[in-house]
Amino acid sequence: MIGALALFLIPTLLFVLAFLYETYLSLRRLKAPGTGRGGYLAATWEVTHTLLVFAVVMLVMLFTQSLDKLSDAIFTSTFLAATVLALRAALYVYIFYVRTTKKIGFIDWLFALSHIVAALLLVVVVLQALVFIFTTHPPINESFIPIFIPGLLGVIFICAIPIIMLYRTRR
Amino acid sequence: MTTWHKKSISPFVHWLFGLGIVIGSTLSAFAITSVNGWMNLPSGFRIVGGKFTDIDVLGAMFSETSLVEFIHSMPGYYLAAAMVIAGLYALRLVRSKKDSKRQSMDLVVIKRLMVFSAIMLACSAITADITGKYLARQEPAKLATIEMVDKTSADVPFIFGGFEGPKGEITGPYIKIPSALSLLAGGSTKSVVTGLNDIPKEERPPSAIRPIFNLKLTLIIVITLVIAGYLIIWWRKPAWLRNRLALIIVAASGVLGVIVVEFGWMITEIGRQPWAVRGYVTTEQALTKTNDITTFGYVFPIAYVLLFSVTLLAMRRIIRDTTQKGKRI
Repeated sequence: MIGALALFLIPTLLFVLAFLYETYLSLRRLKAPGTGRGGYLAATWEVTHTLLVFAVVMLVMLFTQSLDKLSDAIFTSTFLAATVLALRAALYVYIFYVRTTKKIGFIDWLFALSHIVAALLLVVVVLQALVFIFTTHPPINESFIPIFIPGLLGVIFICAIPIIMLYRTRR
Repeated sequence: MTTWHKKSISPFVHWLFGLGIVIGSTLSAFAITSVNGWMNLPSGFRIVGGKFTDIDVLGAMFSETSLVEFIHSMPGYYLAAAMVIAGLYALRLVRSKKDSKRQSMDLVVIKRLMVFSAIMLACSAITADITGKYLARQEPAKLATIEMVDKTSADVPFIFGGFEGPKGEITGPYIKIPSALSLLAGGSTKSVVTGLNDIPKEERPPSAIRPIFNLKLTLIIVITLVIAGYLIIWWRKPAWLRNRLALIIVAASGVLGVIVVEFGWMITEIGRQPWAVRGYVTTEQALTKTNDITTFGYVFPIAYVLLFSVTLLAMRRIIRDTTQKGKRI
């Protein structure tokens, strides 16, 4: 049970940390837009969203048998969170790739706000999922884990090669 | 886009990143197609007393159905992508100034994509034959509905065009190739093709897939003509390839491959009805009972349209910046 939950909670926690940093930067740039990309992160940072996908995959993989009830429990908040994240993405692309002005305005405030709302909604999703798991004790499906772990290690290894190459050649 | 401007990364490494995307998306396409194949013909498990036993994940993933679907649809996806890109280059050629250096480069890209499209079209045609034989064996209801086979028999003709009338007769213009469906389904004109009379009424797919199949076939003929025409002109009169009309035809047919892929998915999905997982779960049972899903259902497409339009604007700007100012983003 603990091991299975760790598979879900570790990527969630890592994503929350990365997203909190994003939220902090989105608020900081309202005061001081900074230089270059307007005091925000480069597009490659968006790779952290893979962790979110990973957490969802974990939920689907581990709780296959009670997926209908689990999805009922977290549907509304997950949906709203996904919508706000989509809005955040649209604003991100607009601010850094479409508009020409560097002046801070309404859109930037909306951008920062979307971070806060998304973060709150994601916390609600995780709490709802945990409450569901600890109150109903759904059966945990372990049949995919033996295939999943080596696959995950392989993916991490393959992904690490270009990332390491990129950061080594940067300097 | 994120690595191209870095001079320290060689073009070869940059190309390797692109190759990774191709391999990754192909594997992803396999995963999606494999799930669809499983829904069309579930395998890799047994149900004993209402419980799943003998679960064989790899067997389910690499079943005959998923492999047949994959080898037939993958060349289709590549063809669709190649034609869209060729169409965009043709559009740029139509709008650009004459005889610039970039123009001849654009033409080279279109030529290569057309050769690639021709190869992919040939692969699709070969695997379409395998798909036909597979459908006749494993999913006879789909094949019978597509080809309006009312009675199980040998020597079944292949009918292209026409609509099914109220009494089962064919109305409208159509072409009838004698015994061709038997040949396609079993490799011989004497092969028996299962008709709708052997399939229970409540398990017959909607007849709507018949006109979709005809539209798909029509578009495939158009695509074949465009590609064949392009290659013949290239061979006999290469100068004509810069002709405005030729470029407009290539640009306009760019979207056809995507529509063909869509039609293909519609046939396999609608053709499985009333089942969601054939033989086990009907679509009616598979529907979620979560409340308000329809209300939320409107919000998501809006968010996606917003995201998509902003992305298009951004791409436009990046292309304009890189081509006009000679600056790379």
